[in-house]
Formats: sequence, structure tokens, C-alpha cells
Amino acid sequence: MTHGYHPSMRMLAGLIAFALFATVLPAPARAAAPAPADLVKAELLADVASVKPGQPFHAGVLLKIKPKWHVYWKNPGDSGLPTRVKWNLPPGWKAGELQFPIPDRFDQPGDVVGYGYHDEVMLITTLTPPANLPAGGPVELSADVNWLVCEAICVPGKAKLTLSLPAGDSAPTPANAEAFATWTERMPARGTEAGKLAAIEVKGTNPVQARVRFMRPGKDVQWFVVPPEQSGLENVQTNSDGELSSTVSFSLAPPPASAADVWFLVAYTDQYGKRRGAEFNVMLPPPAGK
Amino acid sequence: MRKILMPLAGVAMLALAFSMAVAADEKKAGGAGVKPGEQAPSFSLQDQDGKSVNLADLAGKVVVLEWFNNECPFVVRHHEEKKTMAETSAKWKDKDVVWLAVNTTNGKTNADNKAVAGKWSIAYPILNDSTGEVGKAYGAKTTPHMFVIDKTGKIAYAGGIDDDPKGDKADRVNLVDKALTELTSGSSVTQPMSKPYGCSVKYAK
Repeated sequence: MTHGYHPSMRMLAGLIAFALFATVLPAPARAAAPAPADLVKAELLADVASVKPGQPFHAGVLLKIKPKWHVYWKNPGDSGLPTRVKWNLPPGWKAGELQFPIPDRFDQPGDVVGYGYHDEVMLITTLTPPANLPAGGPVELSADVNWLVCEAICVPGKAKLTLSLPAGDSAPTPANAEAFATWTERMPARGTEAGKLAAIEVKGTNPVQARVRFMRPGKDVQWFVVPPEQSGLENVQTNSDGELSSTVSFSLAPPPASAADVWFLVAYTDQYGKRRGAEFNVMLPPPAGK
Repeated sequence: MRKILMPLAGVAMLALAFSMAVAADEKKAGGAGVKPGEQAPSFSLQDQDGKSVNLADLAGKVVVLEWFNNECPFVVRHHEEKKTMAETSAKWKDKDVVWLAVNTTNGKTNADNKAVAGKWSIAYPILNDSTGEVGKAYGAKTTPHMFVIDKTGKIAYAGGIDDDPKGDKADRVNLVDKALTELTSGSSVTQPMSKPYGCSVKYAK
């Protein structure tokens, strides 16, 4: 793919960009490292006001991020660290997998690509209390949250979040409905729900090529790939042919030694302008000769 | 109406031209850098005292490159909390291994590098690559991103300093030390590549 334009146009555009920059930034900002507490505010929320024995509910870790700074998706990309949540729950409780909303992609100078969130994000999981949960007394839930927040520099942060909820046999009343509605909407579909949006086909072990076919037209397609733990992604190429199909290809470096689990998240804007995502888990066979 | 539309069209065209220029630049900046087995890109950079260090002059020695940014918490971890860099470089110092830090961070000067070398008692050169040229030639993505160059000038290892990005492993493996041990004993490097981790290299825009 090449872009043809006259060099003088480019120079002029550069000058305009410089002028814009000079106007927006009054002075070169090189601030001292800010205090971690000013960068991310973390809060633990539940979508219920009380807990019923044996009945699952959602818990969310809401991170409010200082403007222009970002925290990371479950695969941070070329740099950074994923945001991590470790639940401390009373005996008999179960926590499901942590769900991450569709991330943003940051293209940084030097071809360093990152995936994560600006401004605000909520990571959601399903918590299930035991069926024999005693009624009455409040349940104490806590989560250790760790993140790396970056702008021109990176600052690690952490918080121990707690939430106390009454337990009882009556049906729980919903809570924090708006926050959960907002962030549940931004979670990628999985399993049969993902299959209603798109179908995926994967070829090769290294390089790997994947193609999705959308059931309805999709625009502004972005791929987010989670490689096996020890591997990075190289030579990532994406290509959309029309609005019904998109491909991604990449190499795993270093190549996995055995069969490897790869997650593919394909995000797109549907014909109504809504951003959607479908997430697929694919087991790549072991490389030839292994 | 026409008087209003004309300048608007002009702005739109310029905006389009500008977005094309950005796309082309990103394309040009791309590239996966060097891989194990490939020739290490040559360079000549100044250390914190303004002295030139030329890779060509180090032929016949093993060279370790440590991508560096003292404002990055991962670099701080391996210099302040864990002393990984000081200990590993000291261990190999008298065994024909030359350890070099490369600071590609946008805007950093020799004086900045000198200051941090003093603060952290760094016993090896910190090379000034604030233009990003050498970082891009190697495909340095993170700080730290480590490269080991063998005596013939080929990349013998590229990746993380160890296998512990989160910094919480009790039994982390120092992958650079492992590669140096194998390389200097004449055997081949069993793990020539790992996923580098850390902060993004803060390249000049």
C-alpha cells in the first residue's frame, strides 16, 4: 500500500502540525514523577446491594485514570504490564475469569504498539457465594489490584479494595446498574455469542493467519491477539477486504515449544455505529518436528 | 456559502495530506529489528563522558546491550531493588564481555546519563541514542530490552533480562547470564530469544 502526495504538501502539513502543537502546548512539559494516587483511582463495585446464598453476581474493579495516561489490557502489547486483580474471598466463594472490555490500541513512536485503556475502565468478574452462606452478617470481599499506568513515563500502582455486603435469602436488589450496563456493553462476545457475530478460521502455526467473516458488515476492524505466555507477536499485518471479512497474520517470537493457546479478539463498528467485539480461543498445534 | 466552503475544503485536504504523511511514517518506522543469528547492526555512540564507543572496535569480544531509561520502573527494579544489572555485568566483566547500556529516551543528554551513572554507581558506559537510530536498527521495544552479541558480531540472544516480567517469581532465570554462560563455554545458546518486557522505549517522535 503506498500513499501518493506531493512532498511540499507533506511539508506544509508538517508545518501546520507544528503550529498546532506550539499553540496547544505552551511550555515543554517535563514534570517530576507524579504520585501514584493521583494517576489511578480504584473502586470495587457489585451489581447487587445484598448477597443471596448460591446466587452469582457481578463484581467490578473500576479504574479512573488521569487524562492522557493509560493502563493495560490482558495482553499489554510490546511493552507494559496487564492490570491484575487477585480476589480475597471468604471460604466457599468462587471467582470467575476476569473480563476485560475491548481495548484501545496505542501506536507509539518506534513501532511500539500497546493495548489498553484511557480515562476509565471496569474489569468485571462473576462471584458466586456458597449455597450455605449464613444469612444476616455482612460478607467482606476484597481484591488486590495491581496496574502499570503510563504516559511519557510509567508508574506502578496498587490498591487493596474492599466491599461489605449484607447477606440474606431475599432476592438481591440491583446496584450500580449504570456502571455495569456501560461496561458489560463493551465486553467482547465469547462462545456461541461470538459465533453469532463472526466465524473464524486459523491457518499455520508460525506464521499464523486468521480470517474472520462477519455475519453483518463491520467497519474499522481492529485485531487484538493474546499470544501464549512466553511469546511475543511480530510482523503483525491486518487487512480488511470489504466489510464482511478481515485477516490478521503474525509470527510468534520466540515460537512456542508445544501446542499453544491463542486468543483472537476482533473489534469492529457495526452498521448502527456500535462498537462490538468477538473473542475466539484457538489451540495451535505444536510446531512441526516437535 | 461558497466563501465558507472553500477554506473548509482546503483544511480538509490538508488534514488528509497530513494523515497520509503520518501513515507513511508509521509504515517506514516498522520492522521487527534483528533476530538471533543475524549480524548486529553497527553503531558509534557517545558515552556519558562524550567518548565514542564503536561496536566495530569490540570485535572478538562478547557485547551485551541493555536498553535503558532510568525513569522506567522495570529499569529501576533491576538497578535499585534487585541489582540484576550491576551483579550480572560485574560477574562477566573480566571474561571478555563488554556491557553497554543504551539510552534511546527522547531528549536525554550525556549529562543526564552521567548523573544517573553516578546515582546508581553504574560501572559501564551509558550510550546516548536519543535520536533513536540504533534503537530502531535493533528493534528495541522495551526498557530493559537485552541483546547479547557474540565474538563474530552476530546476535546470540535477544529478549528480557529474565523470565519474570511481573517481578514476583521466587526462582526467576537470568536469561542473559544463562546465554553468557553457554556462549563463553563454547556451547550454543539454548534460549536465543524471549519476549522482552518493560516500559516502551520512548523514541523521539
